[in-house]
Amino acid sequence: MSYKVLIIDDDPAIRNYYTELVESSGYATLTAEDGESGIEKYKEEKPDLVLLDINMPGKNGLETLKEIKDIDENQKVFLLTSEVQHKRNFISLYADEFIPKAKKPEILLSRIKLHIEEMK
Amino acid sequence: MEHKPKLIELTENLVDIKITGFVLVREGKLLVSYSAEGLTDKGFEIKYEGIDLKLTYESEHEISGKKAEALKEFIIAFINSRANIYPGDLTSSINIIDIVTTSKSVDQFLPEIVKALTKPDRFDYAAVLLFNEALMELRGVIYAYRSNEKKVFKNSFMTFKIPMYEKDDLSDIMFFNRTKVVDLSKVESNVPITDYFDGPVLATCIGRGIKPIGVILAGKKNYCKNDIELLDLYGSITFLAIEYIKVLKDFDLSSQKLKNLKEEIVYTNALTKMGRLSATVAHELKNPLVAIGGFARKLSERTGNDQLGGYAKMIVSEVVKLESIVTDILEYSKKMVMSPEYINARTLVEEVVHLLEEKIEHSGKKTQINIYDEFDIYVDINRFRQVLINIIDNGLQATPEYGTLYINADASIDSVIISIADTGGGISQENLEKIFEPFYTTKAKGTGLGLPLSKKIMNAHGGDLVACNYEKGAVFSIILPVPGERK
Repeated sequence: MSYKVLIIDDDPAIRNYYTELVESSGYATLTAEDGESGIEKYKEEKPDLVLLDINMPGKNGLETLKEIKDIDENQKVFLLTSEVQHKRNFISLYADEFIPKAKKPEILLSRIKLHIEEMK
Repeated sequence: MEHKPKLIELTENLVDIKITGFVLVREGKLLVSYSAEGLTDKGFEIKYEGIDLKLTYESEHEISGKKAEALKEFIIAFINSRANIYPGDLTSSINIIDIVTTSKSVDQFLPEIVKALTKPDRFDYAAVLLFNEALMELRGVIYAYRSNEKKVFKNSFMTFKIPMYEKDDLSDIMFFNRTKVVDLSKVESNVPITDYFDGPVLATCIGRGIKPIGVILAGKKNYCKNDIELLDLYGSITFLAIEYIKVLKDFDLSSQKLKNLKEEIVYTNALTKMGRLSATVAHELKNPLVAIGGFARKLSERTGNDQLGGYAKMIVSEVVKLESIVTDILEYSKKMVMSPEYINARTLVEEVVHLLEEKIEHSGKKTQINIYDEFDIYVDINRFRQVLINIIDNGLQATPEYGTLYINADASIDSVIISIADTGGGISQENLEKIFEPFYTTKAKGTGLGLPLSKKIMNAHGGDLVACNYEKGAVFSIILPVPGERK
């Protein structure tokens, strides 16, 4: 059974980009376009990893992160950031990784592999 | 038959006696009173941390020594384990809610919380720390501990800080809204943590959702389930209190704003009526003025340069002034329709400066323009030029001889600002507040409509015109919104 990665981002281009990237490494993907539907998908599918955008209309990334961790404290969640330096805030202490969107894709893939290896 | 309390039943079974009298008073309140038929010659009394118990029993043997001590300890433990469900405690929890609804500020409320938490049989000490997200630290607000029934507050606790750089037990409490016993011995803080908290501490969260407000820490020797429930309840009450006080303050502020707004509307309505009236008057004046001016001009032509001709010329020049006032009034009271287009800011400013240069020819006054070459603005060119002429002309008038007028342009994400800074020493506070009011002028020659009209034009652009002082003079900032996608 392959590992599942849930990608939550309001930008379809970013969703497609990460979907292709993650699938190219042999993981299955699921996508959601906002926090609300992301949490619904999360509850249904119980993915192994969540890639979560911070800036989204409606429920933002931090609120979504809090809700996911409330459901499962040990769930691995990566926050995708577009800013060069993300402002420190309390909730983001609970993200397992910060992945700047502009960074090279290999970095994201290596972090994903590392966390999924840990789970094995 | 009188209902036999559980404690009495247990005690009777434990030491094989028949209890004939049992009176339990806690902090001056009668909690249990029980009596049964039988002898009352044997008994004992327990006084312990606010508990006052008198017990009589019937038995063949006197309970004494170790057995009596063990029985007393059992009774105290039983009472304490039920502490939070005793009516006395319920009353004090209700009192706290009373305090919430009457507190005007968080500072007034928090001492009551720690006072209540450090009552006998509750905790030995209690503290409230609030979370500052910008600094990512918990900061001490209030601390209380009980020693010999006397509460002592430590002011130094206000400087106590715990940084929150990473996940730990305390951050878990705030993130997951938990109440649990934590070991603070390894927690980093600016003052040794053991100064305040020794051994395992019970902690609860103040706050819900993604914005935690802080934590309450409370300590004693051993913690039971009731302690956790009690502190959890106090965490919730404190959160509610802080939110309640915040909402009340916001409400007061909004009411005040609404009141001011109402007054402003009344004032604006009056101004609107005045404006309409003056527009009507101005309109009615315009035609007679044209006639007066025209005939005076004819008179002056016919009479030549004699005394009568001089009078006629004076009439002409006064009429010209009146006409310009009337035009300004009409302009000011008209609804403005803008037809904006893109234009290079530097070109437009230079054109206006060139136009006004003639006026300052022999004064030694200079202008300095700092605007990028490729700086486009989206404006109704004629109206905007009118604003520039007005502000730059004013600025030049305020500039002393051999002084300089600075014209700069700046752009931020949502606005473009062209600022005109003179070196004339600035505008008095009183005048600053009034210069944008119609007909307010400090000049001998002026209608008092130049600045209000300019402001109106800028407002019609979705922008603004504001004035302030800096160390050398006054600055007028012409603010323009950045238009959407350029077509």
